[in-house]
Formats: sequence, C-alpha cells, structure tokens
Amino acid sequence: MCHWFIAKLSVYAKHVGKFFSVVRRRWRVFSRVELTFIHPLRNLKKMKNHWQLYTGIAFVFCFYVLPVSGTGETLILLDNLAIKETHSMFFKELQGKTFTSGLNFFLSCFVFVEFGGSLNVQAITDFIDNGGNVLVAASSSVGDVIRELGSECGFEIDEEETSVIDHLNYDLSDDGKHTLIVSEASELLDAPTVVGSRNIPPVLFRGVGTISDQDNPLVLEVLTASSTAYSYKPDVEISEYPHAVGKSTLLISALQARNNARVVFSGSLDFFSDQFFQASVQKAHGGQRYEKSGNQAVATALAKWVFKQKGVLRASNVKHHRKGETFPPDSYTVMDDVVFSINVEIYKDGKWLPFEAKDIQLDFVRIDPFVRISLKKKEGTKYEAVFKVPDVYGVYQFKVDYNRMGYTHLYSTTQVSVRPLKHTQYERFIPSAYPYYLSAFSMMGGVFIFSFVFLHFRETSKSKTE
Amino acid sequence: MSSTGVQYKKKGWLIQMSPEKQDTLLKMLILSMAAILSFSTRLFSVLRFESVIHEFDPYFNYRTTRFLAEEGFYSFHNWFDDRAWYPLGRIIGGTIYPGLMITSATIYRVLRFLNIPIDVRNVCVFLAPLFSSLTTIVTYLLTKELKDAGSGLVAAAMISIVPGYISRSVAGSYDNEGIAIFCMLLTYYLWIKAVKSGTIYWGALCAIAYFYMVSSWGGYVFLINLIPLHVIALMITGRFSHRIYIAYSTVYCLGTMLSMQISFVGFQPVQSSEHMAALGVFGLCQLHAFVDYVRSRLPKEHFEVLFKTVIFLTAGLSALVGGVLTVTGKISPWTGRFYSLLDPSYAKNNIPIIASVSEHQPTSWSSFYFDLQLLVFMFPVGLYFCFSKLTDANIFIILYGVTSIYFAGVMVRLMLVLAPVMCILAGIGVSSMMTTYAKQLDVSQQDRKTKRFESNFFMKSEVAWTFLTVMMALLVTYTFHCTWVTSEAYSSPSIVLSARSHDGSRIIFDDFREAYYWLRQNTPEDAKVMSWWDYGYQITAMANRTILVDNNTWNNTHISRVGQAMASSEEKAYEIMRELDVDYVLVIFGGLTGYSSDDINKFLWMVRIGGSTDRGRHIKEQDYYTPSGEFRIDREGSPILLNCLMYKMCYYRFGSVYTEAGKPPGYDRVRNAEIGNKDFELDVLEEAYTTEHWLVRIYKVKKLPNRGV
Repeated sequence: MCHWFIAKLSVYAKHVGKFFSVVRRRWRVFSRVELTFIHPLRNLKKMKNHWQLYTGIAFVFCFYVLPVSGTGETLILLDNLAIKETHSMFFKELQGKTFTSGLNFFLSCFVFVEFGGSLNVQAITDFIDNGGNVLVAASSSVGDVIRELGSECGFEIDEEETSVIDHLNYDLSDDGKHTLIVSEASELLDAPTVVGSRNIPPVLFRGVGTISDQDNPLVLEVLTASSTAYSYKPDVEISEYPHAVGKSTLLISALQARNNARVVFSGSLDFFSDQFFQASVQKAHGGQRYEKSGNQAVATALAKWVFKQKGVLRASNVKHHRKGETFPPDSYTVMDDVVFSINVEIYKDGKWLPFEAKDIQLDFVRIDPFVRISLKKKEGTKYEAVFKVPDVYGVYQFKVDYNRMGYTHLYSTTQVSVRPLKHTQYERFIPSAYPYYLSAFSMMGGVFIFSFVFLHFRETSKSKTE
Repeated sequence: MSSTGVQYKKKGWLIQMSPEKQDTLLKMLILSMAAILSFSTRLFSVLRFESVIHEFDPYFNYRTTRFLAEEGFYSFHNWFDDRAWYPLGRIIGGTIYPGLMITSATIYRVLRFLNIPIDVRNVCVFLAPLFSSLTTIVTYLLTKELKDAGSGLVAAAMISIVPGYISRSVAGSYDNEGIAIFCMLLTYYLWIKAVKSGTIYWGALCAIAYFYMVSSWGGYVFLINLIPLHVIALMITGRFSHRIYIAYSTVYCLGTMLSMQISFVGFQPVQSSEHMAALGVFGLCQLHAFVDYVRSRLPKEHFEVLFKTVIFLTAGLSALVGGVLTVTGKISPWTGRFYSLLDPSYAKNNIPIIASVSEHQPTSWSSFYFDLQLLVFMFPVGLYFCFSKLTDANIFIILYGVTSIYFAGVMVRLMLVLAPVMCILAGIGVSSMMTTYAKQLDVSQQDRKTKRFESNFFMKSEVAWTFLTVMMALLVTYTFHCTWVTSEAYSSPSIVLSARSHDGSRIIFDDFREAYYWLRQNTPEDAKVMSWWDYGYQITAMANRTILVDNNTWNNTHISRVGQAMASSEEKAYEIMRELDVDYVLVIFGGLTGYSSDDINKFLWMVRIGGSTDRGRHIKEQDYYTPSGEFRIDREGSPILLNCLMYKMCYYRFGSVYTEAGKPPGYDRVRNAEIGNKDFELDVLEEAYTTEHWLVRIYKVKKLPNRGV
C-alpha cells in the first residue's frame, strides 16, 4: 500500500516537479512521526522554476502526512501553516482512535486548502478515479484549481471573493456583512451515515457557496443554505442575478463516485476551525442560544464518512445453484428453482461485521427484470433468495444493485444462461392426448389384424373357388 | 511393327465390345467427366485464396457442423446458443435445417473411421463441389427418365458448369443450397419413377428423398407445392390413374410424416397455408379415386346427381372449415417470405428486413443471361419438344420450368431453382435437335434410294452441317462463358477481398479476419459485440464473441433496436447500448479502399428497419436525406446523418486522411465525396482497433463516467 501511495505521489511529482520528490523522500523518513510536516521553504528557489504556471500569489505550502497504523495514510495540503494551529481540534480528531486503526484499502487526499494557485487538477481527479477520497475545504478566496476540481466533481463554485450571505440567519457575532451564517441542523442531508445525528445545535458557516450539477446523479447536497440566502460579493452592490439563491445554494456537498471514492466539498474552511467548533451560536434575530455549535459533530461525521470509516459495505461470495445442489450448473433450465446467496458486510471499528438490512433486492434481469425479490438475511453475513426461473429462455443476470445514500454502492452482476427444455425433459405422455394414443394403437392393431385376415381369407377363398 | 500391333489390338478391343457395351462405356465416360468437371470448376476460390469458408451464412453452418462433429447429435439437437442474439439466445437445434450439418458430420465421422484424418473445415469447404458432382449424375438420371440418355448426358454436362448453380456451390460456399439442389432433383427423379411405375417402393423412396430435402432447405415448400400441382394437372388433362394415386398417396403420407420430424418444421405441414395445397390435392386424389370407383358401379344418371351434390357439399364444407381454422389461427397466415414470392412489392412495402437482403431483390434481365447464357434460348426449345410429345413425366418438367422461371424472376435467390430445369430442358432441346440433324448427316452417305424420298429438302446435309457447327460453337461459348463467370464473379470468398493495383497485380485485403482475430485475442471472453446483422455469423464463428443480432433474422425488434442505436445520436445510442450491455461496436467502412458494400451504404436499411418498430418511431428515413431527397455524406448532407453514431464511427479521424491524389483530406472513395463532418470527438465510445485498410473499425463503449460528469 505504501508503494502505491508513493506511486500516487509520483503522479504529483510529475506535475509539480522536484518539490514533490523531496516530499516523497522526506515522507519515507517521517512516516512514523505523527503530524509530520515538511517545510518546503528551503526548496522554494528550486520550486519557482516549476511553478511558473502559478497565477496567484505564491503560497507557502505545508504538507502533512497523517500516518496511521496500518496502511491508510492521509495527505494534508495546507496553504498556511497557521491552519495547523487554528484547526488543531479537527486534526486531532483525525488522529483520534477511530482513524488510527485505518482502513487498509483507501487513501485519502486531504486537500484542506484555499490556495489560489493551480495545483494540477488532473492529478487529484486521477487520484479520485483510482479510489482515493478527498475532503476539500475552501473559502471565499478559492482559487481556480479548486474551482476546476469542483466542476470535475459536479459542483459549481461561485466566483472569487463571493460569500454566502443571509440577512436573516446570521450569527450574533457577525461582523456586519451577514456572512457568518447559522444553519439549522434540519438543513442537513437526511443521511445519518454521512452527517451523523441531525439532533444537534445549528452549525456556523462562513465561505463560498456552490450549486450542484443537476445532471449529475452522484452529488449529495449535504448542507443547503436557508431559503433567504444567496451568494454574492458582500462588499459590492448587487447588479446581476446571484450565482446561487436560496435552497439551491450548497454549503457542503458530497459525491460518491462510481468507484465508491468519496469527495466532500465544504465552502468554508472555518467550518472546521477550533473557533467554530467551540463557538456559541445564536441567530441575530432572536434565536435560541446554544453554548456550542454543531460544527464539531458534523465535521467529525463528515470526516468519518469521507475517509470511509462509515457506510462502507462489501459484497462477496456470490453463489447460485439449483435447489438441492451445491455447485452452479453450466446453464439453468426454464422453471428451475434457484438459490442465490451473497455475503454483505459492513466495516465497523476496524472489523468487517454482518450488515443488517431488509431492503436488499435481487433482480433476475434480461434487459428488463423478470424476477425481483428481496434477499433474506441468513446466518452470519449471508443473504439468500430462492425463486423460480421464469419460463423464458435467454441470457440473464443475477443483479444485486444496492444503492443507499451514504453507503457504498453495492453492485454485483453474474451472468447465467437459461436454456429451454431438452427433448428428453418434456412430458412423455400428456393426459389430454390419451384418446389419440388409444386411437393410434387401436388403428395399428386393427390394420395388423385386417391385413392378417385379408391375406389369410383371400388364400382360403381362392383355394375354395378354385 | 510393334506400333501397328498395338493399334490393331486397341481397335480390336473396342470393336470386340458389343454396341451396348460401347454405349454404356461412352455414357459412363461422359458422365464421370461431367461429374469431375463440376467438382473441379468449383475450386477456383480454393486455389486462388485458400481453403476458407465464404460469405456469412456458411460461417454459421460451419460453426454448427463443428459443434455437431464434436459434441454429438443429441447435444446438437438440444443446443441453446447463448452467444448469439444476446440476451435472447437462440435455440439452434430447433431453428435450423440440420441436413447439411448432419451430412458433413457423417462424412467426417466416416472418414475418421476409415482412418483418413481430415479437418471438419475441409469437409465443409468441399461438400458443395462434391454434391454438385452428385447433382450432375442425378440430372442425368432425371433427364433420362424424361426423354432419353442422350438428353441426360447433355443436361448433365450443362448443369455441371451452369453459373446459376455454381454461384451457390463453389468450394467454401457451405450453405444449405449446396446440397438442397441435389436433394430436390433426387426427389423429382424418384417422383417421376414413382409416377411411371406406380409402385409404393418408388413412392417410399421419393418420400425419403423428400425428407432429406426438407431437412436441408426451406425451399422444400416449392417442391411440396410443385408435386401436387403436377397431380392436379394430370387430373385436369384426364391422365389421372392408379399409378398417380399410389405414387401421390405414398409420397404425401410418408413425406409429411417424415418432414414433421424436423423440429424446425414441426406441425407446419398440417397447419400453414403453404402446405395446404398438398393436403387438398391429397384429399382430391381420394375423391377422384372414389368417384372413379363409384362411376364404375352406378348407372350414369344416378352418378351425375350424386356427383353434383357431393361436389357442392365438399366445396362448401372445405371453405367453412378453412375459414374457421384461419380465423382461430390454426392455419397460420401466409408468411412474409411467401408473399414476396407472389407479389414482389409486398415485402418491400411491409417488411424492410426482407427487402434489405440483396438476394431477395427481383432479378434483372441481364442476370438471367449472365447466369444461364445459352440455356435462356434453348429452354423454349426444350419446352417445345416436351409439348410435342406429352407424357406424365413431361408435364411435370413443363410445370417445373414454368413455375420456377416465374419465381426466379421474383427473387434473385431462386435462380438456383431455375438453373437445373433450364439445364434439363435445354439438354432435351439441344439433344433432340442434334439428333434430328445428325441423322440427316448420315443421309448423304446412304444410297440414293432413301435420298430420293427426301429430296424435297434443299441441301439437307449442308444445312445439317451448318446447324451442327453453329450449335457446337454455341456450346463452346457456353463453356467459356461459364468458366469465365465462375472464375471472375462467383469465386471470391468475400471474407478476403482482392483488388487490382495500378500495375495489375493482385492486392489482398484480409481486414475482416484481422479484425475478428483481434477481437478474439484482445477482448474479454464474455464481451458483447454490436454490429449490423450481416456480420453476426462471422463474429461468432471467427471471433467467438457474443453478438446481438446475426444473419438469422428471426427477431425483427431486436435488429430494429440495433438499427436505432446506429441511427441515433451518441447519447441516445449510449442508452440503447447500455441497455443491451454492449462492450464493443464493430463497423465496416469502405471509404478508404473503395469497398462499396460497407455500413454507410447499408445505412438506409438500418434507418428503415430501426424505424419499423414502435420504439423506433422517432427515426424517420426522411430525416437522413437532404431537403432535395438525396443521401449525401458531404457538407450538404442532413445534419442528423452527419451526427449519428454510424457516421461518427465510420468517419472518426477520417477527416485528416488523404485517400486519393488531388483530393482534399477525408475524401470518401466509395461515395466520391469529401465528408461533411470532419473534426469531432467521440463521447461515449473510444476507438479500440482499426484494421490495416480501415475496412473494419472496432470501438469500445466507455463506462459511465466515474464522477458522473
């Protein structure tokens, strides 16, 4: 896994040059140290040549490699070393118990940055397409790279310097621009695996708004703004229709890609900060006062989800056979009784445990599903369905397509052929045809007797007449 | 001295034989030469290319034969093929005429038993030539029954090289027709024998031959209608006798029962209206025989009354029963293929899939001459000689000739049925005339006595000589024509193409096999390949991959679905391709080499077939034409055409290719135009493979985008 990570990093290296190769070398050295950061200042001069593409201000980049026992690593990119201090609670959270156990099958690229430069987007999307998980936290000064990354993942981020503004639901401590928004927990996505409990105090948000690509079926609208919000530059008079208005303004959005890589995009970096974690919340227009915001709870839940600590399923051991047999046949015959079983597990606290659900279905598909039946939970992790193959021959697929919000998309297809009856498998004698059998056999007997008599009689009569 | 001695001995050996023996020897010699000739003239393609199976359908036959030879009859009979017609599958055992496969598998097994190791493929390649040799012999026997041995020999010699038959029976053309013509003529021969002798023995043999015919070709319907027609004609002309009664009753009963043993035929012989004529005539036979019997027993007046009532009663009753059965669906309505026989425009107007097959097109006049040459002129002569001396058997051959010439005019494919009767009648004609004039040659050498009697003929001998010379010349041109046609037109395997380069040398395009082997080697075992149905059989046989539609066009809606995908825009096509689990798409493109029967030229059929079902209603042929009604692929072409999947797959990257000197890039050499849509990218497909001459292009269907955008 380490090697893969290195290989992955080398993709960066290709784009960002020697700078990353330094990281790589250092990373090897420091991989055992917790919260390692590699200060790149020493290499800044070298870097300059490779970073001519950068359009924005040269940010100081800090790289965190969060080593976790096992092989799950998290790379943290920061544009400012100070963030390490201002967000220390969140990072500690990441290092907390739940994460140190580490899933051994994922890598998480933690683009926790708000830089305005252009780290190569291709590298990050490749990373996602190879199964990596990414948590992006931006702010109003979001750069082109993050914006491009967003659009690659189905989020459309508003222009630079814009913020989500809500003149009704802002916090008491707001500085007058009404950009420190108080968002009710009920605005959160109704998916406990992603956002945790919704029974929490409101959350604070200050940052850029996004809208989701409506054609993209994979985007989850994790946290939407209230209906009175809009996204615009706070200091400028409104002269055109805002990019995002009302509920369609997304504060936090997520994407579970088809390869089950997870991406969370938060418009606010402050959302994860110690300050917001500990802040008290009260809406300016006479809301209830809460001592502590819900930010920490949501942030923790989101981090757990995006780094695949929650809602991770796996299916294995797909088996099918005729009832009463144990091995799958070469092909089924129409009207066979089939037993289909599949093991479904969920990842919990570092272990794979049986997954309990009543809504997992099995389809038996030939273009259209001919059979749709729910799988019954058996002992252990096993789910089973017994059904009769339809009386239509063809090439079918056993299809388990379990797609629930926040959970890994389980998709398993197994192709089997269903053949018609062989010539020996038909009924030998059909009851309704007995009259015909009778007539046929009686006819045969009759003809036999007739010909016998005919021949015999003729001879005798001839002999008599003659 | 020794040499003269040998000569003497030789002469003596010939002379010592009795005239009968000499006659037999000569016949045997001519006949075996004809048989050998018919075998060897069909080997052009093997010598020029290699021992390879041709065209499309033969690949399926080859594949099934291999299966039969390897797996045995029962697994063949119960074979459910999940490689074709994905995801519907096809019951092979129940949807084919197994005669061809069983024949070659038997030959294969017998040779193996005799310790002659031979490949199944070679059995398949050489089966058609072998059977054409047998056809030559059967033609001789049949013509001999109809006229005399001389005519038989001429007919045999003619059929051995007639292009109309060779077109379907060159080495490698491993198709049902290859053996079906033999079966058909064998059945006719035995039928004539049965009619002449009136014995159950010949009738039963005829029924068995008929069974073989049914097992090998759907064209048996022609046969089972022709024989009843013959019986009816005999009844009308008052030639009905006990011989006919016995022959027909035996043939019909046994033949029908045997034919029902072929699972593809099933209950059709007693249900479908194509077979009703035979059943009706069978009933009529019984009536006729019964009437004859009653007539011989009753006084005339009583008989008249009885006869009239019975006639009216039976007519009314049969009409009623027929009507009820048709309404209840017991008698199936006349199928499309049969309609297209009677009314050539029927299929074209109603069933695009039938009209799209080139061999279902009406025959042009030129192809009659091309396929038959001399026979076209000698056919009426033969008819004349048959009419001049009518017998039961002659009536049969007249009916056969007249009906088949009609059917051949309707469908190019049925030229095959016409060719044998053309040969037989032309053989009779040529032989009769030659005999007539050859006799007159002798006159000049005879004494004056006989000459005086026939002196009213002017320059008899000279006329005879001239006639014979002309006849000979015609026969020689016939031979040359046939050989030329065989060599030039009918001996290309169409799986390997050849063309002449500028310097006259032969260039071989082996792109098809290249592509199929690429598929075989580079795609997953269970990959599904979408292509137009023409290439289905070849892909399954050579690439061993699952295909959606193939040349067995049994499911119109499924083919229509593929047509819709080809004719739609990329997004729409992607939906269809995902619905059908397509992994690869294969198109044939001739624009670079000038191969004209490529998918763009077939495209309008895809549009028509695609639009012929409910789900494809939105695809309208009119949309693919320019406003002035032309089918153009250049800038003027309809935008829908220029953006459909087929166009994009064919012309992807073609816009930057120079094909001909002095022409812009992207110049299509088949359509002779510069393509109208040059720079485009494919969204849902990616190019997987393109063969050397761009004849075959294979695309891989992309998966859904990982991040949904």
